[in-house]
Amino acid sequence: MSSRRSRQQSSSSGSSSISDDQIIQLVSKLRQLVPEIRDTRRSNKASASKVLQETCNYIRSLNREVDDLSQRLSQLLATIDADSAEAAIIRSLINP
Amino acid sequence: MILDLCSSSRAHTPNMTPIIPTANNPASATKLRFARRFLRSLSKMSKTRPSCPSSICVKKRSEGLKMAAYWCMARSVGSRRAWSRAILMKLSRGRQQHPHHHNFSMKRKIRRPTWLGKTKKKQKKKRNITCSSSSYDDEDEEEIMKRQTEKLREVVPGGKLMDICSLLEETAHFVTCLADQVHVMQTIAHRYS
Repeated sequence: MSSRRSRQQSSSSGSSSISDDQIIQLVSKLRQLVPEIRDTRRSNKASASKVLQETCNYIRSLNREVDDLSQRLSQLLATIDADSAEAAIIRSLINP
Repeated sequence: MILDLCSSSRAHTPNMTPIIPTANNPASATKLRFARRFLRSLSKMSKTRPSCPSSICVKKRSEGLKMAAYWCMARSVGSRRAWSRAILMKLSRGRQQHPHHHNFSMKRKIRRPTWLGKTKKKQKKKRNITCSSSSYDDEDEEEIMKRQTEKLREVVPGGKLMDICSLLEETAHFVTCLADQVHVMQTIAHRYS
């Protein structure tokens, strides 16, 4: 406890308490975005470090997904007639 | 070449009635903009197909498609977000960085997160048994947070230059947009498979 206070002496105590609240708010925002945490019953109890860890894992899995989809789409490229299908795809995005 | 394909897609505007997202549907304006841009890039790419069917060509094409996807998403968000600016800057330099290697940062020293304070010395050792259990837990938790924050900086484009608040905000927006990008690509792949 005393070590934490001594670390905060260099910055003004007012600004550090405001940014702590902001951080808590932003972490809870991330909590809602990451499916691994949002869908568990203990979502409100997940610690900030757990939220950050799951966020990193989620971003990495999304990047892998983009990789796989890029490979699939490059194979399907010959069959894609994007001009005529644009309206249909946009419509299916709006009405899932 | 890929950037030319993406930028030239702006010139071609098909006669489409504008689709305005309503309050009920989950597709944001950014997602729809991305879908349009990406489809036009795909259309252009399918017309300029290389003749060689070798695995190297296929791999290059897949890489190009991936870069095009990130480029289109960053363009759809525009320059109002630090992460989209970082992607646009990185890709416009023509580097062939792979996103899954998480190397979106510019080459600078990693800044210590500001919320941890500015002192460089650690006050207590980790394994010091004379520490009270609460300060030991605090030290552990802060070390873990610091490590996780550094990892997050590596995966978020432009993350290494941000303070913790901006990093968390940018991460939230980046995660939303990346999930949208994946959903659009899945929709297109599903339609054509």
